Formats: sequence, structure tokens, C-alpha cells
Amino acid sequence: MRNLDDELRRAFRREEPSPDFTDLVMERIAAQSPTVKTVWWRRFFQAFEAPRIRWAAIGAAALLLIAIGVVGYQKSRQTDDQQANAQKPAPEQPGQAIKPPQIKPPEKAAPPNEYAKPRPVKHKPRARINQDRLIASREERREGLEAKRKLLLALQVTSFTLNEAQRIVREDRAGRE
Amino acid sequence: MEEALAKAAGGDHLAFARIVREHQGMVFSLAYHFLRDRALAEELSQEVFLHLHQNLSSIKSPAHLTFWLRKVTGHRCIDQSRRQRVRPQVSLEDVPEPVAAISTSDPMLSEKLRRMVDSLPEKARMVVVLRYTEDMEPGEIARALDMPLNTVKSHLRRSLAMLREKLSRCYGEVVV
Repeated sequence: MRNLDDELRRAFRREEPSPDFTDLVMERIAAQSPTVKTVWWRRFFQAFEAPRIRWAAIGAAALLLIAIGVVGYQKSRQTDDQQANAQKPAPEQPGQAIKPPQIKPPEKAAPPNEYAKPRPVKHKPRARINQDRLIASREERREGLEAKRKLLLALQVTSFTLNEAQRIVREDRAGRE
Repeated sequence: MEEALAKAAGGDHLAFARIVREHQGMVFSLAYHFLRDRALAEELSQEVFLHLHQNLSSIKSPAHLTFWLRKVTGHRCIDQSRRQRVRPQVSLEDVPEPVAAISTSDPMLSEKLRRMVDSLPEKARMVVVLRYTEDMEPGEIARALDMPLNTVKSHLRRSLAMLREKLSRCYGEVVV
């Protein structure tokens, strides 16, 4: 009586390749120049394999992105301001007296009449426009200052995190040595 | 081996050569028993190790390395066999039976078995090769070949039944 399992194990036992097999593989690897070129980035990513360093790097990157976003926002606000200034009307003649802006009390809203004829659109008086612009510019200035405050805070936090990451890397390196 | 893996991942060629020497027998045996062509098996084994070199960073442990090598070799062998289609596909039923019974010590028995397994379809053949070259359990084979466990068991059961029947007819005795 034969045991098929044993016969099959005997038939399919391990075989060794030619003696120069390893050398041939290593020659082919050496011939692959792109692999040699990519060694630097592999080493770079290996530096982040330690969990603490990885998290510190992720935190630093996130804060950097926030800082870039805030700077971008501020720049876009500045561009908007410059465009608004360019669209302002020319200053009035020196002979004319500059009237102070008058603040009118809010008018009572009339009850909606669906059957009334639409009134022609009236243009706002100049004083009202100037006042609106003044309020808008104050609002923009307030927003700008707020953005500046946030940016400075983000930069401070980024700086702190980077210092912390540097400290961890130094400690890690010292520990390895 | 873990140290060699870490060093090889860092670009150490000597460490990688050590890994190749350690596993070349396994990779080559799988390829050779499946393809039954020594030159082709060596070529395919070299490609497997080149592929490993490019993916060393994804290997987590020596056990994972063994699993990865078996998996890649298995898939490559099946692909190669499908691509090649040069070798005539002989059905197991068409394998000629010997005119006389072979004695227990017949050196041709192993060759006869290999030829019978050679006539199996690709996936069933790889299942048998992994089972008897690497002594792998059906669950391990299923994971390595991305196949359902029941399919692996079915391949094994059917292949062994056919081999058993064929051998019984050849030898005129019961094969268990």
C-alpha cells in the first residue's frame, strides 16, 4: 500500500537553483540605476518611521498649512482693498466745503403691497455712500487685524512645534548613539 | 533575518544577498515544479527577487517575507503558464499508463507523479505544488493565491482523487 501524500512530498521536494543564482540577481539589481537613485528618498521617509517623529512631523506640516492659508487669506484681503481704493471717485474740488456725513434715522418699512406699481430705483445720496464706505473700511480693518493676530498665533505655535520636533529628533539620535 | 531585512531596506546589498540565498530554494522550487523548465524557473525566480528589492519597504517581518515570496511566485507562475501556452496541455486522463507495474524503489515514480500533476489546470497545479513543496495548509494556500478556502480544498480533493485512481491503475494496488 502506497501513501500518496508521502510520494508527492518526495516528488516535490525542494530543488536548488544554479550556484551563481544570487550573483545573477545582485548583478541585475546593480544594473537597475533608478533603484540607486531612489535611495535618498527612501532614507528620508525612513527617518519618519519612529512614531514620535512621525506625529511631530504631521503636526508641524498641519500648522504650516494653516499658516500658509492665513497668509493667503490676508493677501487676498489686501488685494481686494487695493481694488476698492482704485474704484473710489476722485477727490472733490478744493473750493467746495466737505459736508459731514449725515445719519438718517431708519425709515419705517411700508406694508408690502403686491398690486402697487414698482417705484423707480432711487440712487443713494453721496453722503450715504461715503458713510457706507467708511463703515466697510472699518470692518475690513478689523478683519485684517484679526487675521494678523491669528497669523501671528499660528506662527508662534508652528515655531513651538518645530522646536519640539527638533528636540525629539535630537533626543532620538542621541539615544541611538 | 529581521536585521537583514531592515538593512536591506536601507540599501545594504549584502543584506539583500543574504535574503536571496535564504529563500532562493523555496522560490526556485515552486517555479521549477510548476513550470518544469529549469531555465524558465531561474529567470522567473530572479524576477521575483528583483520585484522584492523594489518593494522591500512594504515587508514587515520575516514571516511576511515568506508569505510575500510564495504569493508573488505563485501568481507569476500562473501568469507565465497562461502567457506561454507553448507547452502542450495534456489532460490527466491522456497520460499514458505504464505497461508494467513499477516497483516501490522505482526512481521513475516521482517523475511519473510530476508529469501527472503537470497535466492539471494552472490553479489546481499551483495548489498541489504549494501543498507538497512547502507543506502549506489549505488556509495558507488560499491566502497566498487569493482563492476561497473551499476552492483550494476542492482543487486538492479532486486532484488527489485523480492521481490516486491513476496510480492505483498503474500499480494494481491501493493508493491511500
